[in-house]
Amino acid sequence: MSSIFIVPLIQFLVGVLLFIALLHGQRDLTMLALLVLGITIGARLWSRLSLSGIRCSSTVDKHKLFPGESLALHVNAENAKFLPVWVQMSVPVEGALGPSSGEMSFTGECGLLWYQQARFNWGIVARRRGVYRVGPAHMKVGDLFGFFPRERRTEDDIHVIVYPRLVPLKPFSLPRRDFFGVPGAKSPVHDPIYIMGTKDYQHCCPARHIHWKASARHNRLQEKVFEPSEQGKVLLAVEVSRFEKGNLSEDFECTLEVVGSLAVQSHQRGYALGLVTNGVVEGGPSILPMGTSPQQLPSILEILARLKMRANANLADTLYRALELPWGMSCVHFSYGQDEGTLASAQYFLHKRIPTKFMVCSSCATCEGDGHKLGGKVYCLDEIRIKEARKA
Amino acid sequence: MRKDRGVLLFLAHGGMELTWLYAWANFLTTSIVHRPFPLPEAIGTFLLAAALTLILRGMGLRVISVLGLQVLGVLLAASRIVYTMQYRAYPYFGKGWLMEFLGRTRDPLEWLMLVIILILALFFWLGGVTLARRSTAYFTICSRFDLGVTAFLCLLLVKLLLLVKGGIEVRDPAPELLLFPFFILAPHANLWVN
Repeated sequence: MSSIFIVPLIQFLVGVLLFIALLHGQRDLTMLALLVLGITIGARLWSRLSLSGIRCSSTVDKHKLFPGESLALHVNAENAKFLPVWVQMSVPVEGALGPSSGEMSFTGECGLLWYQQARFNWGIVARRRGVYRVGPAHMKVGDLFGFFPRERRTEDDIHVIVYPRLVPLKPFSLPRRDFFGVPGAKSPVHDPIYIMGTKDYQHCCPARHIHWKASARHNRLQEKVFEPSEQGKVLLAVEVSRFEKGNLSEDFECTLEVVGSLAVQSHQRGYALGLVTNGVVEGGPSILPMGTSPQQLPSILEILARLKMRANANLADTLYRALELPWGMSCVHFSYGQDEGTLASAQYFLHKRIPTKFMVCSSCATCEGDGHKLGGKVYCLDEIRIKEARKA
Repeated sequence: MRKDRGVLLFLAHGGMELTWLYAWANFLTTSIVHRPFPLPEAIGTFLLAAALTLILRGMGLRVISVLGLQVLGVLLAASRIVYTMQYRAYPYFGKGWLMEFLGRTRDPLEWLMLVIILILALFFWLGGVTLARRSTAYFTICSRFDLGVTAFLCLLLVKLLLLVKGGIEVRDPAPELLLFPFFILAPHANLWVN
């Protein structure tokens, strides 16, 4: 409640005072009582008209960010009428999005004169991975005293995607199966099928690599530059069941941080990437086919951001049912530990002859013993993650 | 724009405070000292206190320095108010009124008058200091509005009681004159809330 003078009991008492003042001919007191009562009645009428012509819109400067980064939330309020109004704006913000330093909440007030606009600016810091809703903005509009506010909830809410935190990783080699061994420029064997471009001919190179048409066009000898013989293809598989059973949310987050970081590292190396998970991905697919497009990495990070610690199927079933696997693919499988689900996935990869590395969250002591069951090397997350010194 | 709003909010908020504070001060001096409280000095004291607090806040001075400057300000404002109310015949920047003020023997009633004037000067000073330090959030403005209206109501009720029960009529036009500025400034303070 903004004022005690809008309480009916207080208004009654002011009415009594008015009566006494009139009885004793007290002009000052009569005037004050009339002013108080007049203002409350006037404010009520003013408030009824206040909502018309009020417009509101919210925007953020970015929709996707990493934990620790901040975004700017702008809410515009416009009074498209002659009557000045008082506006209180509050924006509900979900979960791990918090106000940046100096602010306590996403609430602000201001007065709007005729045909005036106001802009509320707040800084929001993302603290944890996830998809969060910002808004819809909740407006209270009323008379200039703000005694009788009327509420309006705007329609436009904004979704902010917070990717998993990227952590530094130790050098990590993927198991490969290539026709020509080491791919790319280092390879002694060039793949003659895929020509990337041309360059000036070097006399040490074989003559069969000369691009005659390009040489004729440039009027000097040009040789073909070939694409790498084989591009690395990495499938990232995330098994969620054990995390869910043990309610191991912190371990789950750590795992996703490593998955995201490995995806970024692999993308920087020019690998084709794909992702499969048996977890619930809210508002997105749980399988992302292998691809090399520039959008592939953001798509993987977005799936990781949307991924819940809730399994909706067996990972092996998902793999059998839905995934088309290209030749020459490697896989990195992430799970909490080695359980039946992991063994089933391992059987699938063994059957498809896909070289696989298994990453488990549990301690290294448990990794060593059962590695052979999985048909591949089992690593702990700690083995590939470089531990960062905690900020004081 | 934001700075302008801040200045307007400060002025409207300060004006609200000053109206009810002055109404009470004037009522007390009119009824006890039989002289009106000087309005320019009241405004000057209030604004000087607020300005000094705002200036000192950002300077990072030691507490003792801030305290010393505030005491100096209070003394200056109080001396001006005492001078205006009692020693108008002398020039302010001369020794005459000061010698008279310090050397004069007073009866208890005169001491009471002096104490009341000094307390009121201190109230105006503290009003200015707290205005500069107070939050300008909407609910703060609303609570100050409630306080102001209640102060006016109490003042007018006291006047009514004095008249009805004691037959004493205090001829003090200030409340009547200050009611309207108060009720005009209150919505403006809300309008400029940031």
